This record gives sequence, structure tokens and C-alpha cells, in this order.
Amino acid sequence: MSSVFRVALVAGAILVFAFVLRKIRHSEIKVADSTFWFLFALSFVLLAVFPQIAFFCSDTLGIESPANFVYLYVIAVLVLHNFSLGVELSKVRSKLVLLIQEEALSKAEGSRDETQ
Amino acid sequence: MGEKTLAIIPAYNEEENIVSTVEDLVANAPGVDYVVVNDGSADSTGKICRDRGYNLISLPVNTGLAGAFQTGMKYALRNGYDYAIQFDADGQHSASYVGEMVKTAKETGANIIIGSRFATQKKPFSARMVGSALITAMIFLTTGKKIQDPTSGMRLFDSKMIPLFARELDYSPEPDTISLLMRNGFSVREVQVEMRERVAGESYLNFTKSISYMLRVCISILLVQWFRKKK
Repeated sequence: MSSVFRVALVAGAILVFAFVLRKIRHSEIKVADSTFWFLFALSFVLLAVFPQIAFFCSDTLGIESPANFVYLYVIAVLVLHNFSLGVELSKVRSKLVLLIQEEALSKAEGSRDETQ
Repeated sequence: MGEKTLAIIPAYNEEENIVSTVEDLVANAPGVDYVVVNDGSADSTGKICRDRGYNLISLPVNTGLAGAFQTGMKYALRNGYDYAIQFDADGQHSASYVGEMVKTAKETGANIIIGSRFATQKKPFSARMVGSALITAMIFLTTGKKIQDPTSGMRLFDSKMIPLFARELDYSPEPDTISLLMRNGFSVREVQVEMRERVAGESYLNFTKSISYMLRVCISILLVQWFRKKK
């Protein structure tokens, strides 16, 4: 990992931080969601400051360049995050459908779900 | 007296505890109104409340503690309440202290009163209390004030706080919100109360959830809340 690469990692982390903080300031992102991005940006800084982490992992995995490990790491994290977003979206869809149905039924017959 | 106080009881699957909780309030906090916010419970919480004629708002879908509590705050705002208190449905909170909390709020003019287990009694140094001690330290770092029981769910809010919680979307009833409000100049006081251990049913927190909760609260108090625009 060249010094340029490490500086780029830190710069990237600062950009992510700045972007998230801006969103928080304008109340466009919930505090709980921002936690993930903060930790993610922090991990860039850690990788840049302690290149031994990337060296060790790339050696163990048989990856030739430590920079390639960093790419793999970023991709893996994003894939997992994407997956969990999909799960959350499913839940939100279900809730929305339930809500729509409840609203329509209430209006139609003045009926309410009394089974709960 | 003369002030109107509402106890907000967010309830999710609390069929085993809801009756004793409401009866506790009715018996030991007579001047205080209450509303049960049934957060889309899958059990018979809603049915029990309806059968007994409890004041009930039933959410058709589960939205979590923040959403349920906010529903109660909206209700408080729309019905002109002067004070709103968050009251757990699981029986851990003791209704006999509500009166004292309201009295303290009136006398001191504080915006938020926390029913604290450790206002006058010392916080025990145990594994469970490490998280609480950490949050206390962080709030002290960012506000200069010591809140001994920041995770206590027994919180009284005055008429300045009610519209804030009712309307804004990112004001969950959590320690980091308290910290944010303190930094924006609102006053918080603690009143010594006693709490019971959970009698029946399952607690929301397990080990992994506790860790992720702590992490989120830490980051929120230290970093995020610095940057939120004052409302």
C-alpha cells in the first residue's frame, strides 16, 4: 500500500464524515443510520494508519496486493449493508400494506381489527 | 394542582403486565391521566385494555418505542397537557413517584425530570451498570452536567418539550436526545425513585442488542449531537 493510497483512504474517510454530518445537520438522516457510516469511515482511517492490518489479511488470504484486500473489504461491507437494507425495506413494505388495508377497511365499514 | 399530566404507556406484547401497570397508576397517581399506546401487539394486550375500558390508542402496525411514545406525545399536545411522563408497561416503574416528579417540575421549572434510581442513592459498580456509567461520563463530557440514571425510562416532560417530541422525527426518548436537549439549553433534574425488576415477559435487550445500543448512543452523544441544528 503506497503512501498515496493511504492518504487517499483518510481523505475518503473525511469526505464520508463530512457528508454524513451535513445530512445530520439538515435532519436528512436519522442518528441511528449514521452510526454505520461513521464506523465505516473510521475503518478507512484505521486501515490507513495501521497498514499492517491490510498486509496481514492479504497475506493470509493469498491476495497479492494489500490494496486489493481493501477493495474486497469495502465490497464485502457494502454487500452486507445492501442486504440488510433489503431486509428492512421488506419489513417497511409489509407495514405499509397492513396500514393501507387497515385504513381502507376502517373507512369502508367502520370496522376495526378487534382480534388483537 | 391545576396542571394536566398525562402518563404515556407504550405497550408491546405486555398482556401479563398491562393490568397491574394501569391499576398502579390509577391507585397511586390519582390526579394523572394515562393513555396506553398499543404498539401493534400480537398478543392480547389490546383486547385486555378494551375489555377493561382503559384509555387506549392502538397502532395498527408495530413502530417501536420511539414511534409509540411519540404517538402519546401527539395525543398530549392535541389535548393540551402541561406535562407528559413516559411510563413503562412492564411494571418496573412505580406510580407513587409520579406526583413527586410533577411537583419537582413545577417548583424548579425544569423541562425534563428523570425518575432516577441513583439521584440520592449511589449507583452500584456492577457489570450491568458499566453501560450506564459510560453514558453518564459522556453526557458529563458534552454538557458538564451529571445525570446518574440516563437510561431510566421514567421521564417527565414539560409543555415546552411536548411539541418538540410530538412533531420532530428524530427525537427518540433516549439518553442521546436528553444530552442534545441539555446542550440546547433545556434543564434536566433527577428525582430519586425506586424501580422494580421486570415481573413477567421478556426484556427487549439481550447482549448483542446491548452492545449495539451502547455503540450507537456513544457515537450519538459524542459526535452526532454536536452537529444537529437547534430547533
